[in-house]
Amino acid sequence: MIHPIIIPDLGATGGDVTLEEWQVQPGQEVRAGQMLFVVTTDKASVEVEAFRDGFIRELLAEVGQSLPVGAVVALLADSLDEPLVHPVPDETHQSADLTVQTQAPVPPGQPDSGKRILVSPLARRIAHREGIKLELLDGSGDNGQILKRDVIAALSKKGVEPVRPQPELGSIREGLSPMQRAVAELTQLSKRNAPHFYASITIDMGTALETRRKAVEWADRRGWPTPTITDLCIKAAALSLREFPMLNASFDGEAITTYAEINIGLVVGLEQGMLVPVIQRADQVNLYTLAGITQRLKKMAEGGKLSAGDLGGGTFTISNLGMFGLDSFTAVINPPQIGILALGAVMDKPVVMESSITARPQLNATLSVDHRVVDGITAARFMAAFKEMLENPERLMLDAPQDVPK
Amino acid sequence: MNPLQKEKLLEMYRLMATIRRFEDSLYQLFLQGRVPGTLHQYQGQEAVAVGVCSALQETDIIFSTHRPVGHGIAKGMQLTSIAGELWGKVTGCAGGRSGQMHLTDVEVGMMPSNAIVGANIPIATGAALAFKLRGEERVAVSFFGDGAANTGAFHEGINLAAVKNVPVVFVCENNQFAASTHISLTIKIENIADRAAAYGIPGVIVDGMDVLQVHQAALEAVERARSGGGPTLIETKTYRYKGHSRGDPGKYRSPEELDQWQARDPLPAFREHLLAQGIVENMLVEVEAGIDRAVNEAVRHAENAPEPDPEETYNYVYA
Amino acid sequence: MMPNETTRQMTMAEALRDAMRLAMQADPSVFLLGEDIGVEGGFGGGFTVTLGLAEEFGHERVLDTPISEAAIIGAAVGAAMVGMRPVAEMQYGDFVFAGMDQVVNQAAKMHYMSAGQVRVPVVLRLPVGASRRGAQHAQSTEAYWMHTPGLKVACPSNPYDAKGMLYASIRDENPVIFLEHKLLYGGKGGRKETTSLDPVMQVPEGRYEIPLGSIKVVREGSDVTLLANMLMVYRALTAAERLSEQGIEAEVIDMRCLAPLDMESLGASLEKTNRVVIVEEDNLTGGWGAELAARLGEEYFYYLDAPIKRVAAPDTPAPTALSLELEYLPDAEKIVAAVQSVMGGG
Repeated sequence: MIHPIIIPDLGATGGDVTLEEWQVQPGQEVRAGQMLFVVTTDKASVEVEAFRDGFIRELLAEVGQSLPVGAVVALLADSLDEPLVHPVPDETHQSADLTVQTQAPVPPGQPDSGKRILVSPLARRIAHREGIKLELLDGSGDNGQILKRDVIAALSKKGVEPVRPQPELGSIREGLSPMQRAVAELTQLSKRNAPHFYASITIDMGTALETRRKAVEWADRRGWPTPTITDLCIKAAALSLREFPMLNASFDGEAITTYAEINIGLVVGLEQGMLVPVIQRADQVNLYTLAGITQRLKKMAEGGKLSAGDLGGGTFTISNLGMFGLDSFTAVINPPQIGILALGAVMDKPVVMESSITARPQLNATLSVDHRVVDGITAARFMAAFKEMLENPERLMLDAPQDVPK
Repeated sequence: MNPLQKEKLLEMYRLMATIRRFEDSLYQLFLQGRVPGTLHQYQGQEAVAVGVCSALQETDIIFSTHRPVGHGIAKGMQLTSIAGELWGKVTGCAGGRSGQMHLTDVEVGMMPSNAIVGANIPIATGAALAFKLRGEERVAVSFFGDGAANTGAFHEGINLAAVKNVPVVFVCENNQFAASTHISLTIKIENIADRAAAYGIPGVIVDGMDVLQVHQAALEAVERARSGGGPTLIETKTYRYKGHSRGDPGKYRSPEELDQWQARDPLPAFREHLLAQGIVENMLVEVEAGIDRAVNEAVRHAENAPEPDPEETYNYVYA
Repeated sequence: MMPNETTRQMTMAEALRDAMRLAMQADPSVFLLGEDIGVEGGFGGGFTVTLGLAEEFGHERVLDTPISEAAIIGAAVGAAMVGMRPVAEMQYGDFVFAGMDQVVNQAAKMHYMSAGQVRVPVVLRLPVGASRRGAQHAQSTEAYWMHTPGLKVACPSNPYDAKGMLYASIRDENPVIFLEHKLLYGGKGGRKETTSLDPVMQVPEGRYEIPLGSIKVVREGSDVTLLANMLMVYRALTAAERLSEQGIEAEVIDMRCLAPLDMESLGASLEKTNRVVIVEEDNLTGGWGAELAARLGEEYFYYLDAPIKRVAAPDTPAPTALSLELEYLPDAEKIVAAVQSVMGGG
């Protein structure tokens, strides 16, 4: 039996991926779980494994080729010698694992293999002007034609304002990488749709720093992951979100969806942009587990090895630019979430305590919320809770009562 | 003969000789490849054009055909203007855009010549109608050949002119041939003028090689029209010495026939007549020399004149 | 229209008559010629338009002619060349072909060929349009005139336009083919057409001109531009109402003058709606819509969100039986279908 090997859904926002490398060749026997090829998405390089044993009979895609999800890139057979019957492609089935291509894999963007894209002259002109790829659009015309309304819809989805900046003489004009483009589109969309409301608070980190020191000492002795200030903040935010579920939610413009889990995305800055890996159920894992998770995620992010699972499912986001010396900043909400927490550096600052001035380590945290669905009071109360948690860090270890089987 | 009459006769001769000389030199130039476009020549028919036009007043108008050079000269067009148009130069009467078949000089009463056989007949009727409506004592003349006598426009135009009694004279130059087809093959009757009866107007037959006969008939017809007597159909029996158009050697005609008609050449005949009337030879020679000069000058002028600007193509589509 | 201008209800026939009457009063060089136009006790031409004019201006200026289309048109050309302003009538537009040489080879070309020495300010009035009389009494003819350089082509749809445009045509120095749709005349009594539309409206009683070369937006819309002339304007307006119920707003343009052509106004509409449907009563192939489609497609290609469609009579002679004529003629339903197709990308 012949089994097509396809590009799986990797959560890439751009749609198409690029085939980076083949790790097998025709005639080779492979086992389930064995890596077959590597693709790059707009977020990372991803290895794709075999889902069954068999023999690689034919490679259908080339290195460097751009491919959509579902494209058949190779044929796997149960045996080396059974005839490769390429069934006639069934054009009604758009899902890839049922389609076996008789020709080379579908070139990028074609909604149907062998069919031309029909575009009205007007739509084509606007798309060209706004830099929208026609291959990525669905045509709403009676025969699938892409019309002006389809291009405009794509434009408003991205929240792009049609503006042509004028480059100065001598400056260099470059296009964006997929990651850059994804960030650009997301931040622009966020700012366009969500009116940002900011609530800022200064937290005394003296006790938290001491708690951390002890935790690190304890972890070093046992070879456990060592928690960072950021880890403490993540835990504090997660636990605070339990009290304020309305901040652990998403808004699609019509309805608010309150998430069941608290999965906190942590912004990781990279040379080429940024990624937001997610710590799943951040409120439930203990501090050391959390530390381990964040360490792994950071490392994977820097190595371009994050999986779709690592990047998906976030319900709230934290961004820490303290390591760069910023005392405070405001962050852009990561849609469709409705809140993001920006952490500044821990800095010694003069404070008045018991009528005298002393130096205390301070951290400024700024919450950005979608003011369409979160009011100022909620934001303020959340920040107060967050502050209290970090100024009384034993709360990070001591959880609320949990259900225990009787 | 009184001096006015002498002057008039001399003028008529001059016009006829100019037509002949000009057409002959065009023919020579055509053989040398120096004349662009097409030629429909008038040699042999000069008596008709001159006989009719010299019966007209300056304000009367004529409508000619694809063979207009003779009529144009007879009505008073300048040779340079005609030559310029034939050569397709800006000095032509229509700036070179019309060519030989559409000579026009409204100032001297030469209305746009018509290359559609018979088409100028109803048009002339219309012009005459206008004169009548305005109460003007002007006459319109429509020239056409025997071929036109079979067109619908002939029938409709003459009938309308008759029924509305307008001041128009229809002159049919029956040169026996419509292009290459002899009239005996296209009309069952002997004389086209007989058709006039069908419209209720006078039909007159004249010898088209005798300028004075043509002139007399024309005077009568013009007078009839001008005084409100309505149209006349004059049929002039004449002959075309050259082929229908350039490049037509006229192989459909017998040399004997041509000889017969050339023996009746209106030009030498009229010349004889003038001498007989007491006009001295020297006068005629002088006139002829003057014609030679004028013709050569006109040709030289045309050959040296500039061509029209291509942009001219777009002018005069709309008034 | 001037304020305090007196107006009165006029049918299109009355409006045309008024234009000619006023023109003839103002200028003695204006005269009429045609078949049965001035006969005493007669019908005032095929469609009552010239009724009463011979009584006012005499039978010399309202000239009855024999059945001689070539002579009628030719005489008009000749009279115009020596300074008159004739208005010639063909009893049915279809008869013009008997005098086609005089229109195309003579009237249209004389000014050009004479390098401006003569002008031909003739108006040739043609009653056009299918009216269940058969294929030789039904043609529209616009395309022949648009295709002939030197002619202007007027085709009004209503009494107000008809009077102003006919007056302007008579004053125009060029030959004008003036098309009048039989079903829009609004004749009275025994001369009334069945299935006619008879638009009647307030028309100024004085002289006014609507210069040739302009078209008119008769209904504004933003989703599709409908181009129509004469009777088809009314079909387009009916279609526009039905489309409006479906949430599609059509802009209807009355193509009352086809030559000279107001491309600027057409372009402005197309830039707004990005869709064009042409509604024409003439036959599809080589009809006036074909020229417009080609020209708009060429000059405004990048504004089109769908192909340009034409709703026209099929490439057959006009049939007579009712069921056949209904199949033949464009109507609101066919227009609506074409618009829907174009809204879906064509």
